Amino acid sequence: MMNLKAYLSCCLLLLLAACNDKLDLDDVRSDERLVLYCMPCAGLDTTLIQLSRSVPVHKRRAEPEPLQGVRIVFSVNGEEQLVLRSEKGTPTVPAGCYYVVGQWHEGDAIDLTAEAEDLPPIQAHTVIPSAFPLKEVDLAVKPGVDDRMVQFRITFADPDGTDDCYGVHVLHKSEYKRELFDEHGTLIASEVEEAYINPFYLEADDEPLMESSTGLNSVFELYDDYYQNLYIWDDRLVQGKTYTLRMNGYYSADGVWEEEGERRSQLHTYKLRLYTLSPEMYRYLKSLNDNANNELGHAGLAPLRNLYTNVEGGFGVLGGCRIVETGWLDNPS
Amino acid sequence: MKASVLRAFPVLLLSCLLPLAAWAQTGTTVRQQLERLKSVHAVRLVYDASLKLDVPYRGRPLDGMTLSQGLDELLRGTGLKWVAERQYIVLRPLERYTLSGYVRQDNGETIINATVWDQTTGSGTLTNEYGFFSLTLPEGFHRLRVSFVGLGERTLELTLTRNRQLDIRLTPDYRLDEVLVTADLNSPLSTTQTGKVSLTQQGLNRGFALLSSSDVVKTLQGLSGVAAGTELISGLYVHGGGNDENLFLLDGTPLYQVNHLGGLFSAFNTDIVKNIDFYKSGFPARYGGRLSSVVDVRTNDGNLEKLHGSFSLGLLDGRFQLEGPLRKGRTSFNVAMRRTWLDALTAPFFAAYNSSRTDKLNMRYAFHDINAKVTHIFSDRSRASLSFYSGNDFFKVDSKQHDNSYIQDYDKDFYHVKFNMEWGNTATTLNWEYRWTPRLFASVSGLYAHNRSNYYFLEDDKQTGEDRWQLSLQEQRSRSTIDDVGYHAELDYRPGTDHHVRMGSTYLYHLFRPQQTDNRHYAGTEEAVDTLRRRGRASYRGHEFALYAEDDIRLGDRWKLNAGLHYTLFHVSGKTFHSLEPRVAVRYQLDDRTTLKASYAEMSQFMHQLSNTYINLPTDYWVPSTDRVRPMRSRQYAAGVYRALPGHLGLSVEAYYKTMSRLVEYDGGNQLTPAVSHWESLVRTGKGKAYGVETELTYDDGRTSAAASYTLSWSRRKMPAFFSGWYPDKFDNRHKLTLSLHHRFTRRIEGYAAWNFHSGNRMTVATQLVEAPIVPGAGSDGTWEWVFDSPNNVSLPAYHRLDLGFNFRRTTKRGYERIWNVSLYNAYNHKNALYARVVRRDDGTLKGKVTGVFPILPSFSYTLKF
Repeated sequence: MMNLKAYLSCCLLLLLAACNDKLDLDDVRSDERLVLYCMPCAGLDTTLIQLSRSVPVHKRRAEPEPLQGVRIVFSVNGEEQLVLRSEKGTPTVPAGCYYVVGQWHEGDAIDLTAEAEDLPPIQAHTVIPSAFPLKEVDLAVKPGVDDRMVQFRITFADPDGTDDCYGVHVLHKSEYKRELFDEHGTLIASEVEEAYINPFYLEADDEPLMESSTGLNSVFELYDDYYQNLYIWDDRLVQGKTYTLRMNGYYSADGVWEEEGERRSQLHTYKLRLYTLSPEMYRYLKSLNDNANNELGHAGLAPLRNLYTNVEGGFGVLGGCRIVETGWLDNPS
Repeated sequence: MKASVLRAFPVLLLSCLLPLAAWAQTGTTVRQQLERLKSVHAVRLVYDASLKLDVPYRGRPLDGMTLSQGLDELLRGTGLKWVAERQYIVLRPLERYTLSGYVRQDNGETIINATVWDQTTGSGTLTNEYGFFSLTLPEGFHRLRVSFVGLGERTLELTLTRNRQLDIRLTPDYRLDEVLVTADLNSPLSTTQTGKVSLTQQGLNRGFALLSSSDVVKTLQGLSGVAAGTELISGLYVHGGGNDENLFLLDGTPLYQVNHLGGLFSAFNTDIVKNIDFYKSGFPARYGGRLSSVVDVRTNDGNLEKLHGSFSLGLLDGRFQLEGPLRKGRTSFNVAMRRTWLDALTAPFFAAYNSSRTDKLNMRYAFHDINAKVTHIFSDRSRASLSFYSGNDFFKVDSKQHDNSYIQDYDKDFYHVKFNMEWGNTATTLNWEYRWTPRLFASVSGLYAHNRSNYYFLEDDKQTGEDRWQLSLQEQRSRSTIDDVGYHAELDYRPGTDHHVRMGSTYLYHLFRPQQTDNRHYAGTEEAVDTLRRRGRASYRGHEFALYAEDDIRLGDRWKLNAGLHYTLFHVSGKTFHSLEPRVAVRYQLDDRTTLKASYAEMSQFMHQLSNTYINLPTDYWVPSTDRVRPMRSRQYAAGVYRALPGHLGLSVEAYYKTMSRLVEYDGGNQLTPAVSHWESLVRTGKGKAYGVETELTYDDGRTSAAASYTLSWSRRKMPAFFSGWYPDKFDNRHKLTLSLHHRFTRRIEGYAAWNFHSGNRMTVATQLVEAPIVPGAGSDGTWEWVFDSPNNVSLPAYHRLDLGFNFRRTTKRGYERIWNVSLYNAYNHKNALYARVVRRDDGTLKGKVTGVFPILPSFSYTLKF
């Protein structure tokens, strides 16, 4: 009886002993390369050049060694520009980054080559795109249960015959304002006590150009995140047409509280940055978003695509862009 | 005296043998032997000078025989006969008569791929998919051996004096465990094609049944040269092909959706399956339209004599099958149904759950299959059948919530979510078979197939007060269908034992409606409502017309050739594609136990399944080739050596090399539902190649059968949109080894074990970590980004799994058979890797992580056969 019991126990142990497989990172060997991010933008006078060293995963530690012997050639329409390095860092250029000062215009051809010790040299090319063909921006409140939405309606006229790529980034400003009135109701003082400016999260439920919002993805609420809340699309479905894009964000109503001689208010305003993107920059951002959102792919149940790069010999992107910025738009009521 | 006789014996023996030896040595040709007979017996011979008499004579010595014995012996196997007319012996060619008919089981069920072998002339044939055979033989005596693996053999003796029709039955008397089929013309040793595997119902129900249901696709997945894809999903990746490159035919009608429950079960109910011919290479010309494999499933006609059936209850499903005569010996029916019964459990569970709650939740999943077939025999020459298949899955969620506690200004809050999803196939085939002559068999089928996938989603949120309300209502409807209607006609002509000609035509009218969507969204209050409606639809009308001809030719004693052409015309949206595909297979018989084979096949595919995942979602839909996305093509070379070894062993080694062009891969981001509106701009095209060697060693002594198959293979892709060079396919499994053993312990107990091993599936894993970019005007998140720069760059850890299954049979007093099946999937509980990824830990270090999902899965079923 004991023998049988022992035998059955052994069988049970054998059956329930799940094996654990491992992935050896040495199987994923790759070479270090230069990583370049440079997005020359018409309308800005400083072009940032992020240059770093990639970290192959088989090294098992995400700490890239600093680059040595860096040489960068940045040229616009074949004319080499002065490349500077920010040692201490400024609000627009982090410490250790390279930058170029200058204004670029539609159609400018940008070429960049770079090299560093022990790493293969890189080169890339892009062209500054035309300005965002904005016709109108309109904000409206979209009714709903529990949550109302602020809807950004961006009307643009897509040029015919060209493949264009666009993006929108919305900033939300929340201001706490204090106003003082005398006994006659005349404003005697006004100050903004606090103001917060943050990127504004948008949803694309109502927007067919944003494919993530359709079909089963919508049913299962599998909404895509966009890198740095920069919502991008291309003109495949609206080629040569005037179109109104609708993006929604959670609505916050302005608030006003009045006491004797004093009025406090919380006001919401929005600023839109409307981008035209070079094809390289669009493809890079789309590929970054697709990979980040591809949960099935990371679970081995769908293909995972390569991260796009137009940097020959390295990673990253040299992508031209152009930004049109609105003023601060009032919160719709 | 005795001694003298003994001494004289050699002399006597020599005196007898010497003349015989002289005969044998001098009579080297039939003509010379004839002349000798003529001189010995002083007869006059008359024969046509064109008769081929200068052929070697290899028969017995004719010395001592009478004239008639000598002539009989001499002319045996020459195709000649002699007739005595007055004082002359006249030689004439033998008349040739055709022996045709059907081979059936004892219940009248026709048998596909049965061997009809004439031992007298050493020639034979196989029954076709309707059980029909035709064998043209010289007049005279013949000994026929009719056999089929699993049913044994039967020998018939007959004298042919005219064309004859036979209705041959392999009865249970011949179903002896110990009797092995000695000459199976459908074995790899005998067929001309490479890469052909035939499965019968008996082979499918050998003891192991995952989740209590034997499965056709799971069985095919275990074969060499076939990758199973993602675990437990009904993937079939044959010789490096894609999952949409398999032609599934159910009684001749193509099916598009062959999965239930996300691929856990395939759509074929094994209770009604009679035979499956599966081709991996060397495709005969009669098949076309897919690149990588053909799965030709034929169903049982039904018992013509008695009512029989079976009932089975398993872990997830119940099955019922009934067959019998509608008119004895003339008309039969066969009905099989299968349905999951989990919802029968979940329904009362949710009813109980909901009974005490205001909020209601209901969830149901079920699938069913119905196969039905009616066969009528009009006469010996004519019969017809009508077969019907319906398979359907549905998944329903319905949730209603009433919440009044957190709302202001409103009295009631009602939230309702409903999701219904349904997908499946309907297929009907009306077939008429007619034997025009003993050598010419015709079949005509009318085909109709409907494939559908629908879902409906509703989200309704409503708040109401005394004089106010606010609502948000979202509705989504999506429907995808394919309708095929057409015919298939084939002539099966067997002019002699050296030829088997098939020619035919297929026409299918395809109506693709890949996606019809209607989305509505209402949101608002009593003051204002915002309405949004989006509709989309696309449809394509396609005409697919095919013509083919093939001839299975015997070229002498050792060579056999199957040569054919398959032509397809595909017309869609004003664009016409033509494809002329040569198919050649050749077999050389090295000796009685060894054959060599080689084949070449070109295939085209005019429709593509758009899918963003590897999990066979029902919303994956089919689209036709268009001007922009052109038909896919493949070319495949295969060659092999096949040998029957002593001791019931068989060995085959087969190699293949396949190239594929214009392969299509969908690249629509992360959409579960591929968008149809601009699908052509979202697919990428490229090419592929696959090559490998498959080795199989089999053993079968009637009681124990075992097989070991090993595949060494490569499967590569080149899609310039994804990668500049060649890269491994997702299911590029370098090594695959399957060991299986089936043993009948007693008449009551049989067991099955199979160990499956293969190199892991490929996975795209990040190779580098890089700083995140700073986007002008939007900034950076300050984190790191993973770089994926080489598709499928890592092989997951090796996959291995042991499956066990046992059948316990018992016959009841009433003669019914009870079968208990107990099966264990993944018996030693190895959680095979589903995916791997690199993760960054808080301390900045990187680690490779592998995740496996499926543990040991036990199942059982009870079957009653009556």
